[in-house]
Amino acid sequence: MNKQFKLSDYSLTFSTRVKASELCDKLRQFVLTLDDNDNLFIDFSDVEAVSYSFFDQLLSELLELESSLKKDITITGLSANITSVIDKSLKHRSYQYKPTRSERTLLYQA
Amino acid sequence: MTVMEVKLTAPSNFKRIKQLDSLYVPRIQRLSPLDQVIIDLSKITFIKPLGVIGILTLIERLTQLENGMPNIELICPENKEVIDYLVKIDFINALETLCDWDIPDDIEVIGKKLKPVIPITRFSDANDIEIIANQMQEIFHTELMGLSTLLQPCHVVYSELAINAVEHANSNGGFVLAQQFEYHDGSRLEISVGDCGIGIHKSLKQNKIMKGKFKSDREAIMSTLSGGLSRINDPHRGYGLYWVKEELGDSPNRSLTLRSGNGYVIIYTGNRPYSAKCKSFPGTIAHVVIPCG
Repeated sequence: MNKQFKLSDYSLTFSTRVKASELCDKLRQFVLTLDDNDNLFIDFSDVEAVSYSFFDQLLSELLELESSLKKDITITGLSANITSVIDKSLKHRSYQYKPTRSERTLLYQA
Repeated sequence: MTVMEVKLTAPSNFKRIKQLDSLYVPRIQRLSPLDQVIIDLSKITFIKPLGVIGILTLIERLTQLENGMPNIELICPENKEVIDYLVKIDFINALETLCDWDIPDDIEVIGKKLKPVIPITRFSDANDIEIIANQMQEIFHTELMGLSTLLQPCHVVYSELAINAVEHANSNGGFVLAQQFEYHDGSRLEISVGDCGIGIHKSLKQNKIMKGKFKSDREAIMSTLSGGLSRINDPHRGYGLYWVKEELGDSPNRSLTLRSGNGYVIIYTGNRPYSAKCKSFPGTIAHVVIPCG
């Protein structure tokens, strides 16, 4: 099953690294509810603005989580407005989207 | 002991970063509660967000001096439209947290519609930054309908500048003011963020590997715009100002102005950055202009 962690449940804008860490704490709680076969989706639908600092921190913690979970983490629901921030942040850390899926899926090191 | 009186006169048309030189306080560290600083706003006929944020930043610095706060006298603008403007952008509320100001009893609300994108707001931590960002998003859905594509760049600009003030300036935060202006050649959003902290150069010098790296404040400012320089020794940190510069992109007529210590840098999209020396001013002031059309 696909399990969604919806960011817009918490806010429509995200600015700080502190906020990213708080969200990741909630995400770690959320993953405890996942079964082995569940896929984890981080859903950005309805999110209107994110900062680079926020996403860089989120990305750093997602990568740690991903390696500990041994489970794909997929980012979905990106609006055109924030895609640029996320693309540049991924590139900055030398990461990109995994090309094997139709969605903007898992991050892997280029 | 000699009592010192410093009189500062704000310029009439207060719209350029270099004009903050008019608020230069010599030997600011030596001021004591016996001394007096007079900030004369009486001649102002027009003031941009960077001027307003500069005044607040200076006053906040004066309230934090080691020897104690000097007596601050603020002379009110004579121009009623300027007073009206300062009321509407919450300048008076922001001042109340810093010093007394005898505002005239007969302030008239002129009635000209003016709704700042972000009125003058003090932020001191990450939670404040998030709250202000949410308020800005709401304004884009009400007062600024039709400009929704500018929310993301404005959000990046505000967030990264405010984060720098909170995380790197040793300043207990700072002030922000964002406003839409109508000019003869179109509408522009202008965002100013300021803090009265240690400034960019001193912040970088907290990182041992940066000591002695820069000859001047303006060289330090220019270098931070390339990214990867931070007081924190982490290869992924130190990109806030770089991202702000990137957000300007290739879009015409966008600009970023930074003043810190005794240097300032101005970047207009499509042009080489201009940097110059100026009089020393507390903390860091940033000003970004984004055309609406």
